[in-house]
Amino acid sequence: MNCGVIDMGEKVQVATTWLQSCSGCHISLLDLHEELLDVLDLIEIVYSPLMDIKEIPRVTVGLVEGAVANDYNEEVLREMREQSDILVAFGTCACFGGIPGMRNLHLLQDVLARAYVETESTVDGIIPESPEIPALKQHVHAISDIVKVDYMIPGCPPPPQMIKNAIVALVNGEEIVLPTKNLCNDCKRKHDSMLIPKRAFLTEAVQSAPELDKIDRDKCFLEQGVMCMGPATRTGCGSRCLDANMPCRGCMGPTPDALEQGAKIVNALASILPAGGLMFNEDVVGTGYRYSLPVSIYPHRADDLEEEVNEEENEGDEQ
Amino acid sequence: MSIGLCLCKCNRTISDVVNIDALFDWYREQGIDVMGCDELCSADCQNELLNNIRENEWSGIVIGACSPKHYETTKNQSAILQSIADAGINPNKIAFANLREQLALPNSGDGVLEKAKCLIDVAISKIEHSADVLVEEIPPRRSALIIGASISGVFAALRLADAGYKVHIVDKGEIGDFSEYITPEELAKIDVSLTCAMTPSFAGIKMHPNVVMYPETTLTDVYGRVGDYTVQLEGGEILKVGGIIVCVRDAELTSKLRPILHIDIDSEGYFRPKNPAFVVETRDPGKYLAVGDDVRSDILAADSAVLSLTSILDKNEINHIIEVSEVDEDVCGGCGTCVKTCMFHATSIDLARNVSVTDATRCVGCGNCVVACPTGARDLVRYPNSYMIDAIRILGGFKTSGASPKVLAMLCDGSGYPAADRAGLMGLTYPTGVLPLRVSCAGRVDTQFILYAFKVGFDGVFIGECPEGACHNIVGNTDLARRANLFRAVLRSRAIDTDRLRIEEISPLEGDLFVEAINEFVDELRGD
Ligand code: SF4
Ligand code: SF4
Ligand code: SF4
Ligand code: SF4
Ligand code: SF4
Repeated sequence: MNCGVIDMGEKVQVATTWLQSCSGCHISLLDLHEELLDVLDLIEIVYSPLMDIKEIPRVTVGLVEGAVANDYNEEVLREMREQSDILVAFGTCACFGGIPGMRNLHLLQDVLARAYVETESTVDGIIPESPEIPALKQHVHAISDIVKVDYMIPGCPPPPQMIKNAIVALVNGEEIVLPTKNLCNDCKRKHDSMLIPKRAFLTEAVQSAPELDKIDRDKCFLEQGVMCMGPATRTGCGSRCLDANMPCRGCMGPTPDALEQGAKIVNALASILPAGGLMFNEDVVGTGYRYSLPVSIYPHRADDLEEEVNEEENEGDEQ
Repeated sequence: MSIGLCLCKCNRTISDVVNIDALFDWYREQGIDVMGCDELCSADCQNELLNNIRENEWSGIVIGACSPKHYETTKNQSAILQSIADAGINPNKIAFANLREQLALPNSGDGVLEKAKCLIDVAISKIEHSADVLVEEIPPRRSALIIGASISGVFAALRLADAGYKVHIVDKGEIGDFSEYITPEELAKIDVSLTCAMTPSFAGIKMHPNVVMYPETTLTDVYGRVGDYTVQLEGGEILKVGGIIVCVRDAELTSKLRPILHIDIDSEGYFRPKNPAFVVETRDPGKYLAVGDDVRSDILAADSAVLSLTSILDKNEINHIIEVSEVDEDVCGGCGTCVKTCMFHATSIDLARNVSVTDATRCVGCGNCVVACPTGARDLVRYPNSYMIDAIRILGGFKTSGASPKVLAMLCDGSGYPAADRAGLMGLTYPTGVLPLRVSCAGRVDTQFILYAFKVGFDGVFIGECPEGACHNIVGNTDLARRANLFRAVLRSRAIDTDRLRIEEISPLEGDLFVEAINEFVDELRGD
């Protein structure tokens, strides 16, 4: 990869695709609204899920949304890598496996059985088997598990401005630089008792989600006993949930010094909130690993043997 | 960086079990300078080691010998560590492979050589992953605090005052009332009345120009290091002293003093020495215990404590190793989790820069904040994260024979590790597949490490920690328990049986309990 090769005279050729995803990251790009026009002055999108082009052309920048959950995802991803000078993991699913990655908490056969046979509305369900249907992979992967990734733009979805800044940086031959601190650094909520050097629980009161309307909108969630993933989450989203009086759910993924988000938030909260906070206690795994299970230390069940991944190409960029 | 490896035969204790020649060849082939010796505790071997360090300009040294505890808790052995540092090796680049207490004594048979390599590789990794620690020189204060105007307290005060030290003596009650410090039975044993025995001494300290008495006073805060402590009394008065002698023998008072003084306690709730043979020394070289079982031993203990303390404070300079928890300011977002976690009030947020900072005079290097830090911005100079992970990877590479389980035993410095040493010295045995890893504290056990251990193939993770209420770092075991309670849900979600994580409370001398617990765990893992 060489980001110095971009010719400023012409528009930079960009391809985008989505794998196992919800299309939200693409929507977030569109959410730039009129600013999208500024971006389109710089780049030309020559391939995307919204266009009817069969082959991925050679491009300078490839943006990949979504995780790798089936064989077709992997095929598209490898082709995208092949055709892009710079490959960008676009959004949390691509960066860390995201929401689809939670599937790794279950065995594949159980997932299929649940989806096709056991759902309450299903009568005489069968698990489809056809060469036409891409086989589900045993585990969901972040794209860096499969191919080399040059940059990532995390966020579920990444905020429009962040996407714009990243594209502009690449067009200018610069690196995409992500912030490295945690969300608390940019949180505007009042943060008092967390800062008092005294060993004690922050609060004895533990609140749960339905009580969010009763809490102080200007005060740190944790200090009010409300589970917030902000401490274990990379900043950069503009604290959008916090501003809407919703605690952070961790969608930007871990900070660069942490090995994973889930264990880290366990370590942190156990000593500062009674029982680590009620909401957390009820679903430690869903809270800690919601967005990053496939890149966590132990990314799947122990009774589910890891499938073969092509080792040579498996050199994900750990930015 | 060139690393030297010193392999000690320990007068055949090690070499009869571990093939030292094979180790020699193996590490030579890796390009590491290896030297051997019969008994590293002897002066000849120590001189040879020091010569080798100087000649080969080693920047790190792995000592494959007896337990590092041996070097840290006995004065003459810690002198060799000082000499190694003087020979040019940073204290953080001296690493140990415990080939005696935790290998040759408790293990035998096939896997021993491979396990020795694992333990040595872990020590090499520790050197490679550790940055130099800062060593600071300070002139010690020639003053002392005596806690408790008991018989030993008064004698210690007199000795120190006579030797020219400024002495502050604090007691929660009246000073001069000795009736609570001596029973009529004890009194009957000495030939004089209590009044005759103590009144002159009491008068002595009362009249002495170097002694200041603080009756009916309690302590609110003590921090600092040998040679330079800051002591706060109730009411706010601040004293600056070079050393502290604790002269209380009262379990209730001990429990009140412990979170302030940070001296370990025994199972009965009394302050305990760091080594049962050296009854006045604590793990802090500036804090001493002077409590005997009767009047005579009280006075002997006072003398011994005074002698130990003055032998340090009489020096012109004392070296301090600054082994605080460090902060990566690019990552720290000032969340304050470390501030809430630290028992020693050593961390705070620098509000102007919104980053966490560590007060080196308070930090004891326990690592609890490093584990708690949700961003990974904190790291421990003595046991860095990258070393811990690499060590687990190395130990995870050990191949056990047949169906025998592989157990990572994370052993805390305060109890688990010395208990395992003790087990070896007691001649007790356990399977070679138990791979020890020393940690500063149970509070240093990051749940990330546990997950990683299962990932690299351990069948079980055993954590040996201090008993409840007796944690070396006050709250390390409490915090581990809280973390583990939440963390078990993570194990369950990965279909890892939570019984594969075992946390066991052991006192430092309970080698038998350690072996019982570890063997039971291994049997359970094997499915017996
Ligand atoms: S990162 Fe979020 S918004 Fe983007 S595809 Fe995944 S689930 Fe959708
Ligand atoms: S814990 Fe949440 S609410 Fe509190 S400061 Fe951090 S991000 Fe803000
Ligand atoms: S506040 Fe948290 S969950 Fe919300 S967008 Fe930001 S990082 Fe994501
Ligand atoms: S816990 Fe970590 S991120 Fe939070 S203030 Fe402390 S060092 Fe900074
Ligand atoms: S290492 Fe221990 S004493 Fe030092 S700052 Fe961290 S928690 Fe406090």
